Order: sequence, then C-alpha cells, then structure tokens
Amino acid sequence: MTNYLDLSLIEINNKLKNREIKPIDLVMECFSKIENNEDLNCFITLNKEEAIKKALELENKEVDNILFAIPIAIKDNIITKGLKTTCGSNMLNNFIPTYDAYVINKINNCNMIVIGKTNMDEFAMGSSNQTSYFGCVLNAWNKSKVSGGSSGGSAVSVSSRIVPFALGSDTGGSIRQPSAFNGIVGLKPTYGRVSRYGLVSFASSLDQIGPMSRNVLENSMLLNCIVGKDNNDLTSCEKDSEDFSRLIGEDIKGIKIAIPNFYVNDNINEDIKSNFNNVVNILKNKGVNVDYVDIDYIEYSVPLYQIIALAEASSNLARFDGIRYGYCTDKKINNADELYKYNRGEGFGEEVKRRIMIGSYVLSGDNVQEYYYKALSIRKIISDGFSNLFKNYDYIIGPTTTTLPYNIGEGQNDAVKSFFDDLLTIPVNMAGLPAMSLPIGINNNLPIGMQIICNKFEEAKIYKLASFIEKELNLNLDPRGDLNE
Amino acid sequence: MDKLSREEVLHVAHLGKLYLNEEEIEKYKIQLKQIMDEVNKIKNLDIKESDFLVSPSDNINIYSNHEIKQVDREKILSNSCNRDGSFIGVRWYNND
Repeated sequence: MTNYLDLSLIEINNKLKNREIKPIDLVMECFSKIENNEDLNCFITLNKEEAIKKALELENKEVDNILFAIPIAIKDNIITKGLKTTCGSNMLNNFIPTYDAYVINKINNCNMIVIGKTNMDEFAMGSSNQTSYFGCVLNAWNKSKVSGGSSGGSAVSVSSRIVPFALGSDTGGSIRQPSAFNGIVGLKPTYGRVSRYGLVSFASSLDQIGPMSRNVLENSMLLNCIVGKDNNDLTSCEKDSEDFSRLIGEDIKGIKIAIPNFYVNDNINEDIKSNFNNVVNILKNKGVNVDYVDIDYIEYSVPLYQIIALAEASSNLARFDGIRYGYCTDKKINNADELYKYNRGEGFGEEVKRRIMIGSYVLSGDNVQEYYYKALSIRKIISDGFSNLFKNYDYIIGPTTTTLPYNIGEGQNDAVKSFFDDLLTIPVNMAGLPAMSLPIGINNNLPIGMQIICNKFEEAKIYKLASFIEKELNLNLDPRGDLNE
Repeated sequence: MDKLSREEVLHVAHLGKLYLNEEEIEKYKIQLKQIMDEVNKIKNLDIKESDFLVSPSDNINIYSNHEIKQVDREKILSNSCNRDGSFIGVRWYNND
C-alpha cells in the first residue's frame, strides 16, 4: 500500500503537478485504508465507483488549486446527490438525495473527491457516536473508547489518516469535541459563514458546517473552499472572499486573551487542565496578556441548549413522516395519526425520540413563556457577555472537553451525560461565534484538545494563534505511532 | 418525584407524534425526568433581560430569485416506500 496521504497537502499537490502521482493513486490508497480500518466503523456509505470515475477524469485536467484531487469524507447529514444520506438513522436508511448541498458544490468546484459518508450520532444528537443506527465509531487512539460526536466518523477518518479532510457539523460542539477526542483540528465557523443549504437541520439557529483536518494550515485551506454567500440559506452572510491562512506566522506578542473561570472549574479533568495551563504558560512567556474573566449565566449552558436546541429539533424533525421518504412501518394502520406515530416511533432511535419529546413539551401551551422565551433571553445575555469581552480581548480560550475519551457503553443510562459532554462547547453556538479545537497534548495515549474562540468572522485570527501553539508544541499526533520506528 | 407518570410520558409522545412500546414508556419515565430537572433550572431563574436572541444571524431578509427548477420526478418518487405508479400512496387509505 502507498502512503502518499501521509504527506503534507503541499507535497501531495506538488507530486500531482509533477505527474509523480495520479488522483487514482490517492483514491485507491483511501479505500485500501478504509478496508484495513473497517473495525473503526467510521463510514456508513462508500462512494467507491464514483470516486474512481472522477479520479480517472481528473488525470486529464490541470492541477489548478491546492485541493485538486484530494480525497474528502462527508458527514452523513450533508446531502449528496445520488449518494445515500442517512443521518445515522433508520428513518433515512434508504434515502437518496436529488441535489447536492452547497458545500458539496464548492468542494466539487475545487475538484476534491468525495470518498464516502461518515458515521455520526443519529441526526447529530449525541456526543459519543453511540446513538447511530449503524453502530458505534471507535476512537482512533484506543478502540475501547468512544470517538466523541456527533461528527465521530469524520474525526476518526481524519485521525486514522484514511483521508486528509472531512466535513462535520457543529450544533453544540459536534466538530470540536470529537476533534479533541481524536487529536485533530476542527473548526466551527461563524454562524452564517458557511451555507447550511443541504445540511439536514437539527437546530437551525445553532447548526454550522465546518472543516476537520490533520493540522491548522490545511484546515484553513478547506475553509477557504467552502465559504461563500448562498441565497438558498436565509442566514448565509455576505462577506468578501479572504485567505484564512494569511495571518499564520505573524507575531502574537501583546495580544490579549481571556479565560472564563467557568472553563477551568473543578469539573474539568485535572490532566486536561494541566495540559491547558502548560499552553497558557507558553503564551505568557511569549508576551501574551492573559486574564481570567466571568461570563454571566454561562453555567446554564446545558439547560439552555436542552431548551433551544431540542425545541428547534422537534420542529425540524416533524417533517419525517415516512410518507414521501423515510422509514415506513409494516404494521396495520387505522388512521393517519397512527401512521405518523408508528413510522416515527419505529424509524427514530431512543435518543432522538427523547429529544423530540422534550422539545415538543417546552414549546407546548404556556411552556413557551416559561421555558423557550426565557431561554432566548438568557441566550441574549450570554451573547452580549461574549461581545463585551471582545471589546477588550482578542481571544477567549479554554479546554474543549471536560473529560478524556471514555469507555464505550459508559453513561448509556444517563439521559443528561451527552449534554454535559458539550458543557464547554455549547456557549459558542449560542452566540454564533467561530471556535476551533486543536490538540495540545496526550495522556495515557488519549488526545487532549483546547478551544480558541474569536469574535464573529475573525476565523483568520484563530488560525494565527492556533498555528503558533501547534508549532510550539510540535506534537504531530498520529494514532499509528512513529512510522519511522 | 423521581420519575414522570405514564400519562405524562404518553402526553409528550403524542405531542411529538411518536409511538412508544411499554419498555420505552418505563425507560422514558425516568430519563425525561432527568432532563426536565436540568431544564427547570432555567424556569426557576429570575431574569430581568427582556430582549430575545432567536438567531445569531444579523440578516434582515433574503429574497430568492423566482425561477422554476426542474426536478427528476422518478428520483423523487423512488424515495417513497408507498409509491403507487406516478403517485405517493398513503397506505391506510387503501385499507390493506
């Protein structure tokens, strides 16, 4: 088996330009690696026939951009024309979309090659990839541990070096948390930066598609590709095109960083805090100003998310009735109400049903006032809290997760555990801010990640600081170990 | 009270248009209560703020172009398990 995909993106690009390798070499290497790593369960559907066809077509084309012929894995809630899109659910087990998501058109324009659709928590509801109808994804570093979620398949496919890139989606931490658990770089862009057209909606005011990669620079290159104004998404923002890698390498001396006290509270694993504090000390030694701050009501992030995300989810998932598409029961049915209930009751999994019921409840009758409107007020306060901090600080940083990857099966009977896994990532979604998780250490062969948060549309600044930290730590995390040994 | 009643679970299942079997009803009595205990922390807060944040987007409105898009009828119909020729059937009407 070849190992071209272990090279940097720039090296692969040069080899393609010099005709030392062909696109088909990269594609076949991907599928060989998928076969060798089948036990990780990171793919639901492979796109082998079309990927080979496209690779052969690209042989006769000019290598005109850095992402040309580069394989990419797509989270299975991003719709792909003619390629099954399941959202990790029995409800959509046979669903074949008739059009492509906006981001798929963008990566096609760069002539990237879609390798397959990655496993995920059902309808992106979960933080350990244990709610997927297609089974759990195993952590790339330790197969007895969870991958994190909901973009677990995407994170593991990148971490295990099957593909150099994947797309994920992040509603409360679903890109950043599995990125941290698998030692890769994952970015949730500013809300509105990347079109949600063709992303199967979970919570529309929180969802955002983002890039997942092996390192910071390559992450910025994929973001360059997928952004843009899209009239098919009401919330898509009009922004001039920019190179998100342009600030990488600039001096960080004198920048101002805030660390919310909540992000280093007693509930955070000590090893995670220790690795995070190591980074803080490195930054201080480089002349960075660091202050510890408070954000009002941030400690209520979990119930806030439970109300807002689940209210939106109950509304968004109402479209799945099993009539026009989706799972349909074979039970004898007497009326329309029964048909809906059986289709949905049998088609959705346990976690999704739990969340639909809570969402329906908080939106029913007077509960709208008591729960939903109140949650929206607190969301405004938290968002204003972030805005005020960014008047005085360039960055907000903290750990990505409260724990290291845990054992598969752990907490399965705890209905609130999956929400608390996202304790430190949820606030960013509430305010619509951009945030990245990047690896900062390893403990007992399990990766640790930290978050870098910026004000809206300041992704380039995130890449600047992230690149500095990446260079200083020089971790080069690879779950396969040192290949030169 | 450490769990919801059977009636409460069936009520929220009805709101969500979900059929639950007996095993699920028993499980959700406890699990939904666990979540509601968290959610009620918001209900009990005394908040002065009167403004809402519904969406982080600052966009006012977007109008799409009026254009007719052709869709492949065959491909759309093929996603339904109740296909009846050129139509999507609703099975209980057929009384089968």
